[in-house]
Amino acid sequence: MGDRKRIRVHLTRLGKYYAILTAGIFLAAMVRQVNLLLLLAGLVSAPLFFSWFSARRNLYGIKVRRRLPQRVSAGDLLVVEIEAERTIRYGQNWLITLTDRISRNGEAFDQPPGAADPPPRVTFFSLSHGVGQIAAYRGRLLERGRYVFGPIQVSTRFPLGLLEASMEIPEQQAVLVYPRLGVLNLPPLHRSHFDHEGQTRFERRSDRASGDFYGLRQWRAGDSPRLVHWRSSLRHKELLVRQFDRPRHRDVVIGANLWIPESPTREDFDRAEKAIRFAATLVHDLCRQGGNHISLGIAGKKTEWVSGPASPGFRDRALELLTLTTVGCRDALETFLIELRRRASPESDVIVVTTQDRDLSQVSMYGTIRYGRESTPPEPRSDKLRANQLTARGGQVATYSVAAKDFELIFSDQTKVES
Amino acid sequence: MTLSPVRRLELSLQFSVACMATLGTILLGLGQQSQVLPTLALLCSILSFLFTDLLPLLVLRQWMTNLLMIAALALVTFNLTRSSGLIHVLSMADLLVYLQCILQFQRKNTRIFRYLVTLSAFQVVSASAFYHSVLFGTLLALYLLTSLMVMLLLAFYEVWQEQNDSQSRGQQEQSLGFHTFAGDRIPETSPLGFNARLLGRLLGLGLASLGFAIATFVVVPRLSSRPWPGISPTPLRTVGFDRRVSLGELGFLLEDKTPVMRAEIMDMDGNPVTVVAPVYLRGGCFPIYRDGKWEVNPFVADGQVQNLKALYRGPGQSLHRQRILLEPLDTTDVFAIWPYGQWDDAPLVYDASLTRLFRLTDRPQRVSYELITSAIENQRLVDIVPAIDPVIREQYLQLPWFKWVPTWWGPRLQIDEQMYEQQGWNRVVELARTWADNCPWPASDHYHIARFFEQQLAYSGEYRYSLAGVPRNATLDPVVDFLTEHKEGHCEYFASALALLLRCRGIPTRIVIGYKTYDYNTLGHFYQVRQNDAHAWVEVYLARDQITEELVGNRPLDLFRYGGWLRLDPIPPSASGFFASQSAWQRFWNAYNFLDHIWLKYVMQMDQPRQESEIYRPVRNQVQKRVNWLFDTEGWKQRISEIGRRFRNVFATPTRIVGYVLSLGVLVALVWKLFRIFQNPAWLWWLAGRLPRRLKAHQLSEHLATAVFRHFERLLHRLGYRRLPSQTPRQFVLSVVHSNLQHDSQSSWQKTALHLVSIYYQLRFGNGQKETANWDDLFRAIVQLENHLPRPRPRWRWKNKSRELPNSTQKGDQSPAGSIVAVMEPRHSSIRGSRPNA
Repeated sequence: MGDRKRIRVHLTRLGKYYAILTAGIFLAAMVRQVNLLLLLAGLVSAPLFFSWFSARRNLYGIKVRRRLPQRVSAGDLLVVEIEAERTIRYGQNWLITLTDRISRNGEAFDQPPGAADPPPRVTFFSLSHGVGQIAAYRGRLLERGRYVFGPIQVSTRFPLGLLEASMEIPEQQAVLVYPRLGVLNLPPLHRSHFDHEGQTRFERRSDRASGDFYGLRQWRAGDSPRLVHWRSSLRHKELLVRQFDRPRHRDVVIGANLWIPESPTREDFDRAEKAIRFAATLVHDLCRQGGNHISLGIAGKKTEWVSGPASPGFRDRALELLTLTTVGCRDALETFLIELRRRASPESDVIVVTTQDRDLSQVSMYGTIRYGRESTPPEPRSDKLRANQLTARGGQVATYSVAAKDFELIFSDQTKVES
Repeated sequence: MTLSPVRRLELSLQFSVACMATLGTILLGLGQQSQVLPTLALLCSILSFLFTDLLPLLVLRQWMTNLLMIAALALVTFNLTRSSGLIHVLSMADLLVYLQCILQFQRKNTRIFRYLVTLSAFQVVSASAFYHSVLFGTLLALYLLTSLMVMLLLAFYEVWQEQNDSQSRGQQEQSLGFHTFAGDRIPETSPLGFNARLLGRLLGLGLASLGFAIATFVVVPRLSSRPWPGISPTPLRTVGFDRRVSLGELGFLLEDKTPVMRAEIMDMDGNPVTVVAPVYLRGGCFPIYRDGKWEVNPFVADGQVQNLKALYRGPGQSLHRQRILLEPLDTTDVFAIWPYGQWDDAPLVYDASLTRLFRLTDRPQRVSYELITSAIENQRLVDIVPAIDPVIREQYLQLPWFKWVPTWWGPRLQIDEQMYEQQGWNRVVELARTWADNCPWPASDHYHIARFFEQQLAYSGEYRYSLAGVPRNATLDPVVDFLTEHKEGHCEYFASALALLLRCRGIPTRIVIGYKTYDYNTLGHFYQVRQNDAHAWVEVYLARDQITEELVGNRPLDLFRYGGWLRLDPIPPSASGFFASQSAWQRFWNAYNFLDHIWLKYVMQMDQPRQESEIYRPVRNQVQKRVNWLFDTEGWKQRISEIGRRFRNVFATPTRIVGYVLSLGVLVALVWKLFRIFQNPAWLWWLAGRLPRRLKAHQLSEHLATAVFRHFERLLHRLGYRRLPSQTPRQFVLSVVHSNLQHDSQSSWQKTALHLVSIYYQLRFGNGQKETANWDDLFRAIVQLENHLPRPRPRWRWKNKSRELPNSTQKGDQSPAGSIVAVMEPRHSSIRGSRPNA
């Protein structure tokens, strides 16, 4: 691999100085007819001349493989292993530097601010036939997106560091960098959704019978007197209480409105990213809990939906959608809400996160989510905290605006970067 | 102690840089003819490597380094104010050495290494301004290799440092961006530092660079006929080439073997000529002797400087060219075989009054000049040469005991009785008379009397040649003392004694100072002249009537119309310095001188005419010749007809045809057999047995085992079995064996195959336990298998046919007990892997 690639050779900085020195010696030799200087010029220029061949030959027969995870969360440590091997039986490759190129969503990837380093590179001091060597580099990708690693630039300054020969090996691999996950700090009512299954075994039953009738059982201490089935108790001459099926796993519909103005500022973009991270964290947590049926709708440049049972597979699909989504200035909130309502069953919990700094209650379709088609929307609430938690028919509806100042109380994404 | 790869790299680099720095300064010291700077550089390199690099005990701090650099600069500036001209180069080059020495004691990093390389390179560039011998070229080649090694290691070091920086940045807690993984250290087996493979590459690069440099040097056209002569800071000291020379002065030089000049003698076509007898290269001559000193005649006016005249070129005159390369001397005198005439446009002038040849510039530098001479006949220097101008005989008859007395009609020559008696000159006169009386030839025969006197001094055994200082009687003149009391001395005493004795008999003489050499370099065809070849001899003037045809030889007598000068060398033969046999050391020096001669001729003095005559023109001629040969239709016709004629001769008779065809067949068979033999791993085993044990053990063992197994694989491949990439050798062999099991027991070849693969594993992965018994087993097994396994049939028979191998009952003892059942398939089949069980 790589034997027939186009090899470029250029002077290094040291090589440029060297060439200038050689030219100076040659000029002095010719002007003053100094034979020894001419001999010296020949001796000095010869390594430059032969380095050209040597450097080119040194790139022959190199096979490179890259190993990296298919997906990673933004900000997490990414370790990329590169394995190189010489395919030609005899000889060795010396001083091989492999420089990886990273592009995000088809654009050249810029190193984050503060990272004044050259692009990621690894060095192999020698490569032999049949002995694969592995080197690794590590780093962090701070923004979500689809990153393409490659092509790998193979370069060498062997033998003397005067010339650098390089060629590209089209070893390309893609990595999905999911939005960075944060920590949700939702109100208690919502938190009950994220309780684990086992914790409810001895929970105190509420009076409200939210499920279908299941059967009778003996009374236990702590049971509500309202659940006592008096007729059967009389018949059996002991206290019997009614049991109900409790729908532990409920449908959750998540909507993310990623609107940005036509002339967005950096803050607008940050806000959209924060909304994406919020949705990603929500999906991640719900999928970790399992059992729910989740629908995720994203209203960005275009509206996209994904739904399915909470599972690692769905999490990957949802996070991939969130990773690849593009924010847009198309204000299609109403349409989005209609679609949201259509997908939400009466018992579904609906969570809407938006970048727009406006009260969703002003939106005409908002009421259809909240109260059903017959209801009329209430008066605008104080925007002190627009993370409303209101009871719908069976389910809950919550809307969050990222633009709200107290959004930080609900969602924190300033997680410490793992070292 | 095991060093880490990085430490190994660092130490290798530091050692190489120390060597390179020392070599660079030695090259500069060669030019400056100074031992101080090279010694200083050598000391600093050793100390810095030991105490700064190896054991970091002596590391200069930054402020101390700056202070030392300022001091070095001040010192050089002070030297600059005291010097002028080309000596500036010396002072500036000194600064480079000082800075280098200071930097060597700093903690080394890439920057410091680069500074040291640059300083060393500039030293070599400065050294190129000086004149150098072939030693410089040799050391320059060595310097090239060392500097290449430094640059090679520096390239590794830089890359390692970049990686190290990236790692250290990556270890920071909040680092962003990508870094080489900190946990990925350089493995211990990394070939950093000195190792054989790198050295091999380096050697190849160095040799290629040398070839390239030589080609460049030869091809690049010169723009003028006067190349830079090179600065020679300290000229050679000479004596005897002034207007006066004291007796005994030459003794200072006679122990000094410093080369003074090289003389090539050629015929007029430029072919070298070897002169049998010693060669006399004449400097100056002195006619007046007084108080132990020879001097020029004060009454002869100075300033008769003229260009050299051309020599007579007529019938009977034998002319030769002499090319002389003279080292920088502290005198403007130049030397040549006398008589000489103009040949090239060398900047030389001739002073007829002093009979000396001078160069025009008084700057001490190497000069090369070419003259013609008529002194060589029949590969010998002739004894008598014609006088060019009329000769004033009186000055060559001067005797030291005569003095000029002023009288009213002018100065008159009068004997100094006091000197004559007290300094013992009367004894010299008496001795001359005695020898003359003993001489069988008449007093008028100056030639024979001179020869007789020469023989008396040289061969009588009474006078002994000695370079040791001989105590002289202070009351006597040194020559009188030599002749009468202490009869020991070197050439000056012999020559002075002969000259004065002959003058006592009225024969005009003069003493000549120059060089006499026997040191002929047979490789370079030149005479090497050294300081200890300095010599004094006598020239006797013979008037026209004294010169007979015997003396003249083939030369026309008319050339001697002003008389002639006869050369006499009265030293004993034991002092001639000629040794027929050469020791190894002398042969070595001869070779060195030859190389130096080539170096001077083709490197230092390469100019436009020489490049044209010795490079461009021969190449052009050769190319032209080849082109003419290629397009010469007549020549091709002849060649073709010649080939046809030979062809007809070869196949003239049926017997010859049969003979040639048979020979060709035998030759092809032999070549094919050899090819097969070399394909057999047994040949490798035979070779391994003759290699050194270390080579055999470490380099060939694995290769041999692999080669044997490959051969076994090839044998099975012929039968249609191929090893899958996922199969180990053992799995492969087992699958082949099991696929051919017909009976309960394994056949002999199957056992052998299993045995072979187990030995192969032992040898290949046996942790160094490669014993000879294993090797024998291995080769025995492969030979056995080669014999037992069947050879495949021709391909056209294989297709779609299965073949059952005969068992031992069918094939006899040589066949395997079991059988291999294999379905043969075409070679181009895409099926890979072991054959299924048939």
